[in-house]
Amino acid sequence: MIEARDLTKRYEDGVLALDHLNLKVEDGEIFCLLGANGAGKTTTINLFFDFIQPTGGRAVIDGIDVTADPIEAKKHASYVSENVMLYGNFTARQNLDFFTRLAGRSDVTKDQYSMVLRRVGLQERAFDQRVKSFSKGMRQKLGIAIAILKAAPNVLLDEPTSGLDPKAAADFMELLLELRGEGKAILMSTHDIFRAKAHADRVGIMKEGRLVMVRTREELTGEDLERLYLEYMQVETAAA
Amino acid sequence: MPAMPPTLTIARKEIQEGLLSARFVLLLVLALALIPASLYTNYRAYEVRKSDQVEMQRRSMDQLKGLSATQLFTNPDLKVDVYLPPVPSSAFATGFEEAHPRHVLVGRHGVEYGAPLEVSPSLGLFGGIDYLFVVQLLFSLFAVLLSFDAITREKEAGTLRSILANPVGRASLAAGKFLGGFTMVALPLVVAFLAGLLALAVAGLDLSAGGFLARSAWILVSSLLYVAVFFLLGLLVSTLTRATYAALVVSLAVWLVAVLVLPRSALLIARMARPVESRQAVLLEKTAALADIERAKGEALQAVYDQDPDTWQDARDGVVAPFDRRADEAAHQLDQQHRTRVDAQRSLALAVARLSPTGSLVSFVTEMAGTGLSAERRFLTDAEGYQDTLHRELFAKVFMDTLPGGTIRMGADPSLDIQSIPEFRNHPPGPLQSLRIADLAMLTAWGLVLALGAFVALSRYDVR
Repeated sequence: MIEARDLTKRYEDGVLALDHLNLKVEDGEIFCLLGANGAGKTTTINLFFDFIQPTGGRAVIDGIDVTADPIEAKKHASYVSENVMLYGNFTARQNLDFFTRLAGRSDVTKDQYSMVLRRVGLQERAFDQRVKSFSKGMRQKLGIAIAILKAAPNVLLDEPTSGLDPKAAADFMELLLELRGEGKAILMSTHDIFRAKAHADRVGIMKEGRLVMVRTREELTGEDLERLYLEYMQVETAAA
Repeated sequence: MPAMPPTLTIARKEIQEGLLSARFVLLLVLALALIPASLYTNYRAYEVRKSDQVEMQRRSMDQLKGLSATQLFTNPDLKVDVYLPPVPSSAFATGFEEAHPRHVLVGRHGVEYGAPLEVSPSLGLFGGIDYLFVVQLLFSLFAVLLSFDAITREKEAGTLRSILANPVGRASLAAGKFLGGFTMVALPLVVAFLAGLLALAVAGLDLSAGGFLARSAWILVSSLLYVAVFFLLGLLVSTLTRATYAALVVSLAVWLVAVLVLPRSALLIARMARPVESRQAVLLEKTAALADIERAKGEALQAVYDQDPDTWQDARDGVVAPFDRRADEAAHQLDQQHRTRVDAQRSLALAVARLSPTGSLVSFVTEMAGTGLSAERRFLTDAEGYQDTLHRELFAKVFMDTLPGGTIRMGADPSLDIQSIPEFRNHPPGPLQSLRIADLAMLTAWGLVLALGAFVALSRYDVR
């Protein structure tokens, strides 16, 4: 379970990036965060991985306060970024091996690596290719393979389908649905309103560091999420 | 199977990455080309110096022992050349071998420096290459070049976030970066060092003799410590800068000051703070003082002679003894004063140089190689001891008194046996006596301070 309790972040330059965020993502749930650039989506994810320190509130993963015990908390969460960053001179298998060992697993066999790479849709010939020759879609697949092998109960993704072609994005979302089926709590920031509505159990809209709207899949049935999103943006802008 | 600690996982990754890098390959090639070659050629040069020294020392003694009694009397300024025996470990570091005299002249009133060793013009202008040079410059530079972007590169590539999204503490990251990266600098050094020892064995050196292996081991330990310090320096800069380009500029600037500027400015600072007159000036002062005493002695002898020309020789020893003592004391005092001032200047220079890790390394390796400051000091001490021997066995047993009227009186103790005068013996310090713990402690302290700095800076590093 992923939980933000009054989570607040003000940067050194005075910008309030996150303003008392409260949200909870249950196990077996996909929660999509929508919002313009600078709305606080990435800051939220950064706080869950201790990349930055909160100025108030708590980021909690499976009941573990990230600030109090970041190492333990990070055992419980996998991270997939907008551009999965890997070692270009290493092969897919070498990258997978490195990050899996970092995650604390040294029991994974070569066959298991191959199996996971097949599962995420990477072609067999790419397993031993250097990652610097990979397309973005291939790197994202490798990123999700790393997340799968970490076997953490929570997955946080920062705009993972941004820049992917429709087929690659659809494949990626299929993998996420599989992970949800395994009972993982999934928090994903995205600009992809279409896929958020199609696959998320809940959708939240962020604006200027605040969560201004949350709707369940049921509540969104028959709603035009894009119109709703634009309305919130306009209302907030008008109010400001 | 228990999980591999993140530090080791990161270290392993660093090694895997490093093995593929051009920087590592270049360092390995340069180290393998330079270290064995320089050790081999410097050992050959040692052999030449050794045979020269043996021959020159033999000639010097032959010359002394070939002197007739008359030649002994008529040569009050007789001086015996003694030569510092070179040591095989000088193959590691030429040190002061070419800067300081390799032989001294032992005379009636003390020890004088001989001319320095002949240096080939190209060597004098451009300097030579020895193991110490390779470690001091090349390895420190590559250590910095392998570490300056250790963190910034990961940040710019985005992999820093990928790493830290895992249960990895920043201390583990810093430790892994150090372990893996340092291995990539240490590996070429150790391999080239072992190849160098092999080259020495091929050149004919008995590695097991005279504590050579112990000296080699200490030199390797200090070199690894030194390289670790510069690796940590690069790592610290990498954690304090946000971009690889900035890290490169800062690292190279710090390297330049630490390796080239600070050690070389040490003597400059010491010369300004504690100036010392030249040896030539001291020699002139000593000659003048001794001439005054000699004149006074002649006058005293003349007075005795004038009293009773028949029995003056009976009273001679009692008359000249206080003058001889005064002459010895004056010469000794002038030498001692000069030595004290030189030592004070050197101590200051060494202290300033040791502010840089390079100063500590040079001090440690040259001492261990037997070409450092203390080797020269030990040589002078041994030469002074030999001067005592010569004084007792030779100088005190012959005299030539010049009276004011120009009359010269000469004589010799019947017990004088020039053939039994012992040869000069140099007592170079053993490996443990050459061990400069202070230098190792300074290098360790530098390493700890830089490691702590890198850890603190990384713990505050903005990974966004």
